[in-house]
Amino acid sequence: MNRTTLAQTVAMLVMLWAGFRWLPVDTEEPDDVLGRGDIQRMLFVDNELWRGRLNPLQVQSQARSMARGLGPVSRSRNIELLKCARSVKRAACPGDLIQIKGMPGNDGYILQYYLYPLRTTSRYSENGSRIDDPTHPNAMWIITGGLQPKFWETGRSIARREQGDACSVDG
Amino acid sequence: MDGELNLTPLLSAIGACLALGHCVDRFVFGLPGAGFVERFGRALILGLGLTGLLSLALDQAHILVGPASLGLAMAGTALLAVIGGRWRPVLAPQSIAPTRTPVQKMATVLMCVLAAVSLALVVRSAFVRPTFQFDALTRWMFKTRVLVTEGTLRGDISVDPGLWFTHQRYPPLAPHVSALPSWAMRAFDERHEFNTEDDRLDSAVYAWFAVALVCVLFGGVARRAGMLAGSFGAAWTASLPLIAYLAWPPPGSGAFSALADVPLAAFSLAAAFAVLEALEQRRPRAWLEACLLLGCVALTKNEGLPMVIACGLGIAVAGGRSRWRPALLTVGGAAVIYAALWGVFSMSFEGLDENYWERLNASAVSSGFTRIPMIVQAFFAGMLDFRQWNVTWLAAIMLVAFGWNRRRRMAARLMITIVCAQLLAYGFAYLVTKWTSARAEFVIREEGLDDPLTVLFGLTLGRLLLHVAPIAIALAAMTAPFEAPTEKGPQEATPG
Repeated sequence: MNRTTLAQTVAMLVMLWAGFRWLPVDTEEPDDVLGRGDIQRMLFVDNELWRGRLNPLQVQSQARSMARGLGPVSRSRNIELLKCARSVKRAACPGDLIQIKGMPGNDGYILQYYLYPLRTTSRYSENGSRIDDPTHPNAMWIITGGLQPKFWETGRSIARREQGDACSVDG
Repeated sequence: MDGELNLTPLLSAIGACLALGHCVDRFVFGLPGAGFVERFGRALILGLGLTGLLSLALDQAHILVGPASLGLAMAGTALLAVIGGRWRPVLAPQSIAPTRTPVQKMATVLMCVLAAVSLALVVRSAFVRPTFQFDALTRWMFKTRVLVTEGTLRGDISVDPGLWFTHQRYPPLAPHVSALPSWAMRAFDERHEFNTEDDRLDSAVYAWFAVALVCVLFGGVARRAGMLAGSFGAAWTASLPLIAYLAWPPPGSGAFSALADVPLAAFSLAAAFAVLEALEQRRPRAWLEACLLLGCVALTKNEGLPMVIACGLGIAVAGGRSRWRPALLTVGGAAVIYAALWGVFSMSFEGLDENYWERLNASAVSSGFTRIPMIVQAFFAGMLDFRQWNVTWLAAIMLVAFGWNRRRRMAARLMITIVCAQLLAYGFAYLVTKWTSARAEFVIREEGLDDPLTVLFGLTLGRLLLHVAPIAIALAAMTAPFEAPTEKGPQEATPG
């Protein structure tokens, strides 16, 4: 076997593998055969989104499908945080300062993204903020997560408290 | 949010980038013999890069970035390129070797179709998905959002205590480029504001870097090794899981996930080809093009800085002693672009990312020696991870080994040096890093591990390999002996 034949064989293997991800999956659960990813599931979700049938920020089951297709990326966490940000943005006035307490650092950053242009304050760090952090004197709103002593044990709901009169919203 | 997305501003933005890039490519740099696909890819990558550089320059000059200022800057640059093109030397075209047999023709068409379908899926995925990755949201899209709202990333906004930029020192070329659809939208509608609940308009720009990457690779390989090799390289790259469909490992690196890894890979590949053109003495202005693209590399991600040095080393190794001066000038030029547009200004920010310069000392290096086996093992395991790479790294090494001969010696020396130097830089960073996090500590405790590096590999290694993978694939496709060499085959110039 000469070098040309060997090179052509390797190239064919590369192309076969590149085409492998398109083979249909005939199981209920996405089948990550030989690590090919889950292209069929992604195509379905994309197609539904493209036609406007699904709202990826509200339909959690489809979001879970997408998360599976995309690997271990939790979109449900983003959805929860976006809901919280929406509820605050609906009621807040421009210029209101929002304090984030008791939330993992990463969730705080994502929340800040969704809340912008409202300004936020928190103890932003890898360890997150604590529920008993001192309240900022200028904070008009306080978003409180349920961060527990163990690093990622976070409460399933996010509470929202308006200064003075408190209220809460399920996450 | 509904599934409908107004594509007009996005396509207008991409069209503006293409027009600017085309003017600069045709009238300033010029690449005789380039086919339509390569000219499209070059126009796109140059346009995206120049748009980012112009936006950064406006911001540096304390001019608010907006549709009017950026539009004028782009139009002015295009006009200057057209005027300056009058003095461009006329070069002989370099012909592309045609495919010879019906089987080769069919294989070429099939691979081009595979590449096109794969890229179409990437572009479409970017249209329909909101940003979902943590790094994309908090590092890149957040800066885009601030830029679109405030018109600047400098001044008071950069020290506003109500805004927390996760890594403020990260170079912001990608956020400047991805703001373009919003500027286009605002040109149509002055009241348009960025909507974080539907940020697809701006995040969709990132997918176009993958398009540019594949087109540049196709053209660069096809001109040197024929259409068959070009289409093979294009189909291979466009089908890479980490580009086409796999946004894993976290925080992911799919071309549709609005992360700066694919843009960095695209700029790096285009710069490597420009350096190769310069070394082959095909075009006198290839050095200038390489310098500009390396400036974009440095301004896209922190990892771009070692890439610039790796390219300088590649020039020196591939070109020999006589090329030390252009190597220094190219690297120096890129460093000046970086320093002028971001590097100096960014020094005023608190460094949240790891300061590797501080770790360049004997004690840090010696204390990291025990990590070497773990790092080597992780690199090999990462490269052989079929989920992320298919058979990419194994196949690339085999194809380069089969095809090693004098014809592609310069390309091989250049690209192997770039890939190895960049991987060594990443290996060194792993060696000296002090990185840890609360999550890493937790994983270490729960799983009985003894070094946070094991967690860091999972988070970063796939993305780091992605930065150099297209260069390795281009080299493999170029050198692979798919056909027996002929007299009329594409020739490689000898170094002068």
